[in-house]
Amino acid sequence: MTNNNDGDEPLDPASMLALAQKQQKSVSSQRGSFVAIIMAGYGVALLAGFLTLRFVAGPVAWWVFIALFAAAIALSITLGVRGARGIRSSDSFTGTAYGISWSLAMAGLGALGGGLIIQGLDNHLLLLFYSCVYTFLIGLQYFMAGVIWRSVPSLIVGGWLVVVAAVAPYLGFPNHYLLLGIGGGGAFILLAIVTASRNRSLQLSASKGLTTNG
Amino acid sequence: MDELDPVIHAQGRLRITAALATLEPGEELSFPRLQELLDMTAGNLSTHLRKLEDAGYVTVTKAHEGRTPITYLGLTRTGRRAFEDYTDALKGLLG
Repeated sequence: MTNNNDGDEPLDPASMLALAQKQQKSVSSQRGSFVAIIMAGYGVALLAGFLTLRFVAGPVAWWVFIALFAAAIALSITLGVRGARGIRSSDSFTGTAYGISWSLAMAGLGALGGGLIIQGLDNHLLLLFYSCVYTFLIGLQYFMAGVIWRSVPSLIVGGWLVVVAAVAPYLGFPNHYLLLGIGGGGAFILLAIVTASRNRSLQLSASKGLTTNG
Repeated sequence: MDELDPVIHAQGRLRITAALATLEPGEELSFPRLQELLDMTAGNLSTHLRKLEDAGYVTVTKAHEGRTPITYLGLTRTGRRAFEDYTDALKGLLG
């Protein structure tokens, strides 16, 4: 299907302004169509993963948690690469530095926990520490992504995760997993639903404007 | 409507300029991706792009990915400013 608004002839000023706005909405919604799926993937991984850790005993719970997160990461990489196809940037500094900050912070927290083990930290406290600080880190990174790329949904979900992670230790082990799973995973799933419906309404509004003008 | 930029004041070229204006400065879109996003025929897109390039609004860069030639398109600073001036002029006309 090709569009009807391809010609040389202009429309009246109101229709031309509407056409420009609808076109920008259409491009933004098409470029961001995969974001909701990535958020849903992380939401399910957090919700199901932490609830498994809470209610299933033994190492199998950790394998389930790791498998869910690996699947969510694989999904986000696949869709992210697909979404970025045909786009190149001469300024890759911000994206590269942000990517490095994830690896650096993840490795740094892993080493920090290792130091605590050496200093004799109790196993339950260690599990409490790791689950909360990594959730805290994800929240902070999402918040920073919102700052860098001016995304209000990222600011909200990032800020919320920071609060959830900061409050969770007060519930004690293993009930903190409930808050991390429901509060953290639930926030991602809610944001995925809001993003998907917002994207859908953008698409509808854009396609309506682009097929009726001219 | 004399004050409206005649290069942008055409439906096809307005759609292209509006689409490219959503990119961050320094970002470029490949021709096939832009065509997909605009749902426009290759011939129509090429014709409009030539006029935008002649006006100095769009950069057209030929590159290779492996052995495949690929054309990247982006707005120049002049083009971005022209698009903003054009939409401001429309808003001014509409009061």
